[in-house]
Amino acid sequence: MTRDSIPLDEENTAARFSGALRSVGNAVLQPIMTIVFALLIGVLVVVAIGQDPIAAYHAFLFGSFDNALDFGNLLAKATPLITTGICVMIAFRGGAFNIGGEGQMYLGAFWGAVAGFTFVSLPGPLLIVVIILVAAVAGGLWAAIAGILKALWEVDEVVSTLLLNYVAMLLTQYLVDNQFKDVTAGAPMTTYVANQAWLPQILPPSAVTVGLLIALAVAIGTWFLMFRTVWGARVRAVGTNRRFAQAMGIDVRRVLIQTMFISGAVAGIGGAIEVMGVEHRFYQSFSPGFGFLGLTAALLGRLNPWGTLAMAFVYAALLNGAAIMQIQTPVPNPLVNILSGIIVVLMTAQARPSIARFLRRKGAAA
Amino acid sequence: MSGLPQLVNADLLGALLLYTTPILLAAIGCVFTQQANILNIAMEGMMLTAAFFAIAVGAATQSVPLALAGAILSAMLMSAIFAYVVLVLGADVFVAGIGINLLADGVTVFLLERLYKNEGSFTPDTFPTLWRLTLPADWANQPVLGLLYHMLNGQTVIVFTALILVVVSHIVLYRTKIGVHIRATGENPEAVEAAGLNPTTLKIITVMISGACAGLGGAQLAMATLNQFVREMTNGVGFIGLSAEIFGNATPFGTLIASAVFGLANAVADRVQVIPALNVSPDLVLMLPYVVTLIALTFAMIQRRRGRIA
Amino acid sequence: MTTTTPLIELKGITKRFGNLVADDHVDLSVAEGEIQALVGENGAGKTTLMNIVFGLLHPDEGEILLRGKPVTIRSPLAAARLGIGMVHQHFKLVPSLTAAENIFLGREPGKGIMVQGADTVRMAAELAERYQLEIDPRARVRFLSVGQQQRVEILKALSYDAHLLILDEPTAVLTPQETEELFHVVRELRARGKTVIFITHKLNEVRAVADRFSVMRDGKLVATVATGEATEADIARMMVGRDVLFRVTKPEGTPGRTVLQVHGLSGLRVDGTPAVRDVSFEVHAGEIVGIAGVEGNGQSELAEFICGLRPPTEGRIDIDGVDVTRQSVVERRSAGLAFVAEDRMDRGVSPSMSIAENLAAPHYRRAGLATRGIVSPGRLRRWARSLIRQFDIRNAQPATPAQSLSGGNIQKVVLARELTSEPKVLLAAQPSRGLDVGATESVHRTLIEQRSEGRAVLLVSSELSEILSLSDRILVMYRGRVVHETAGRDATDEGLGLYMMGLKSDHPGESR
Repeated sequence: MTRDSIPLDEENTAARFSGALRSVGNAVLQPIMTIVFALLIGVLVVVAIGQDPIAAYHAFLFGSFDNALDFGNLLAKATPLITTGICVMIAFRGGAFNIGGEGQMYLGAFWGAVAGFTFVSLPGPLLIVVIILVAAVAGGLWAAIAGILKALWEVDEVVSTLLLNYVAMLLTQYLVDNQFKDVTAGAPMTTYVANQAWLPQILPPSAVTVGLLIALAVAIGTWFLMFRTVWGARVRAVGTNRRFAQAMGIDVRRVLIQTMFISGAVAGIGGAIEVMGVEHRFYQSFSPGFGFLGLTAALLGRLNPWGTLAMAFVYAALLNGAAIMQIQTPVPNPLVNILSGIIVVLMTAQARPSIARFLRRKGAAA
Repeated sequence: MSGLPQLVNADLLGALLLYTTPILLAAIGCVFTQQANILNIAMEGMMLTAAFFAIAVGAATQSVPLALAGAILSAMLMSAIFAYVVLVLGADVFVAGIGINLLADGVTVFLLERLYKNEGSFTPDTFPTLWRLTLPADWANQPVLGLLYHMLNGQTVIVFTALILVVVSHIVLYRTKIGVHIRATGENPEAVEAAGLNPTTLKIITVMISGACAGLGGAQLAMATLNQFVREMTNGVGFIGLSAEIFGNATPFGTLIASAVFGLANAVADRVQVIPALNVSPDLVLMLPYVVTLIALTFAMIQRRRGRIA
Repeated sequence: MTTTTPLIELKGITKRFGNLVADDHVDLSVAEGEIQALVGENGAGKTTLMNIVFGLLHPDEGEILLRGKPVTIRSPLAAARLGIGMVHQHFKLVPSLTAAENIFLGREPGKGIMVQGADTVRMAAELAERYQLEIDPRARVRFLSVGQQQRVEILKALSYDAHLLILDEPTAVLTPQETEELFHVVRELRARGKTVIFITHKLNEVRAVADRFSVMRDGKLVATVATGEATEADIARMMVGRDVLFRVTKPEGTPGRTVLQVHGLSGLRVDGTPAVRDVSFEVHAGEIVGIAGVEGNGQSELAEFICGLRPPTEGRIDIDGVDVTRQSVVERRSAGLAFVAEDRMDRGVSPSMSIAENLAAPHYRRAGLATRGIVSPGRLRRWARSLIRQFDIRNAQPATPAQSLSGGNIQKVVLARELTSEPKVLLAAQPSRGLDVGATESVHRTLIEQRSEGRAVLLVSSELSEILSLSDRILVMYRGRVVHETAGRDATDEGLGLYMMGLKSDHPGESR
């Protein structure tokens, strides 16, 4: 097997991404179709386990909107999805597949928490800003590692960000078990972040906090960065057509690293929001896979900030709905994980593959 | 440092073989797909599925062959979905691969909750024993035989199957016609088509083979030490296997060596936890396999780049 | 000519791709045991025609007769069964397999699943022996020279018991020595009763071997002549002479100072083969220099070296006296270079980004479209709109994605972007490729305007009519070297054609 045919060289990477980007960016109909299809499969699953699909789906789809508490919880679930979704979106737009949002979020959460109980003398809003900055840098640097490996040596970022995920989570676990352990707590976690940095709830007793607003601000900021700055235009040029970017004189490698940094920074901020808003300190299992859930939202959202935002809410509704469904009916919560998987698997499938192949064969001109 | 002799001894060899096996199986599966030019991100999900069904079927039937069949078939079903979506429906191989991993996680956790009322894990009360090699106990203290004893005693049938599989894979890829066709598909599908063969069919075959390998790997993970399934228990072993394949240059023997390197990291991590004298945090040591993998991968890419420019 | 049935006859073969008629009612006849060359420029329809014979494409009209009997050739395998083999310009070989394995891929000897290595090698050796084609069956194709790889491909075709062998531009990748060896092989094949069709644009080489020539031009078969009957000038005229669709009238040029200077430039292709050999020339302000030549003779690489997209191995490039050889693309743009890349969809635009963003890509700072890195959407829109107006880009709003435009309008976007910085040098590579007559006219007018405004324009094109119509001076490239230089008004298509086909050279003794 020659090394030449591994799809890691420059032309192929660009082709791979423009292909995936094109297929993901195709019909607006596709995300809706994929979700509908997945929901239909879900109905089959519910029936297969002998439950009533109507009751289950009623709770699943509409349970979040019955009352303020459930709605608030929906918003709370959406918050981390917004940041991890935006994280994926940024990277993908720049031509990189950042699957390491989970790990970047962990590091952001951890170091944000450390800042939170270290700089206790700072006033509330300032401390929150510091925490967010520290978290952003932590997440950003971690993602930049994968970015550097890709820019310099074409190390595939899918594999590297995934591996770094595990390293990040173990790293934080180590730090929480040792240096930063709160000995008064029952489980491994850090001490509390200073009180003034606890994000207030906006719809008590539900879990949603001011963090939602921070996440929204991040989404808007990302939109601005990607679509209203020269830097953003450069990133998108690299992401859509690398050879064009070169022809324009863009330093593709530098842009790649910067893109990964910003992407990781956003994930890090998401981690900080969780820490400040939920338990008010860092504990090891604070994320039930937000990274991958955010990935789904980003892909569904056609990789633009508003779509990702919208899909984060839709997705959060499904997640919340599943939890409600489990309470109200015997259908297990993880049904939504199955649906997630189906959605992502089918997301980039072409509707008429045989036609595509046919066209490719017959069209060969002299 | 003290404690080192306790670490670097014959027991380490046993741990080495134990930890290398699932990586090796994942890697062999990835070798086949890579020879057909497919980067198999879905290996992780296929192994997770296999691990679950190994335990589920094994607990339900109390039969080892059925447990293994359950593992292999469920993994192959996952691989069939992957093959269909990517090769027939033309989906992006990365997105689809991640989707398979999500799907596997979802299905396994769903079934954990549904069948066993526990989202975290399932440990059956009784479970049939996988065939293991038993060597005479008096070998333990002899010089050469002792080494063999510590390394091989108690290893499951899957371990030996994996080693044999390395040889078999080599033969298949380099000595059989279909192996030649697979390798040709990975390098130049047009040549394969011109020869009257169907590259898509060949690619599907490699994906199914990788599914079978994933099946064995998942079964080993679940049944080698503790007969239990824990959610997300693969913990990246599929990606480490993929990395081993890349590092081993997509050849069976190169992959064996690479898998052993990563397996060693895992074994050290495992052994260190039970040697208090070494005073190393288990978390740090558990990082070792991933870090080693990443460094090795980077190194491989640097070499590759140099080779191409030179 | 004898009246025996020709081995293969094409009658009225027509093939269309959308609006393009690649082959236009072509009648071709090849006698058994002859070597016939199919000649013509790029895009004349030769390869399409042969792909139809080989079953890769299906004709829209016409029929094929094999020994007088009509046949339908549905696929390469069907062609093989009919005794037709083809060796393409881009080999279909698997690099890490041996020559023998490649030849018998899919037809490996032996009944079981195991490869019978020794048998395969033996069969390959026998085949090679039979046709006197020396190859080492055990050698891995990756390590074979191009000439040897080609032999493997020929053997592969012959192994299907082909009576008719089609070779597509076989000498394009060979050294002169290897070309001689190939001709020897082809003569041997003829001696064994095989029939060979050769696609080529290199007349000088083919004259050494072919019995007859068929000339194609713009999809039509112009003539079939026996080798001895036609002079070189006749052939060149048949190949390139045409009623030029339009000639843009250009005023007398007044060339000024030297703006672009290229000294002794040499460089390689991506695959490591030499592409450009010791090329030197100048372009003055207010002049259009056209580089003519059949594609594949190093022009694309030359353009890439000048633009800074790839580094040359030797030589120097100066823009207005400044040595830019080591400079990046961005630096060269600042020095006054602008370029229209030869594939607009590949390097010219980002198809999914908006027209405005495509226009603005290198110009944000210079055109004041952004302050401190933040783009002003209003200013960008207005600026884009004025460019759209100025360059008459149709159906374009600043926000529409570039890919929604027609080819001609996309090219206008590229030109607008490149010209708005008022560059000193404009390099235009294949600027009218894929464009219809109206769009081509528009591009040509733009280039003439630039010339009038005192820019130095370097035009690289494989369209001879374009070169003749626009250039003040013409250089012809063949095999990576400049083989001819002449004033535009003195040039004729036939005259240039001879140089393009390698039949003549101003520097004949030059080492290859």
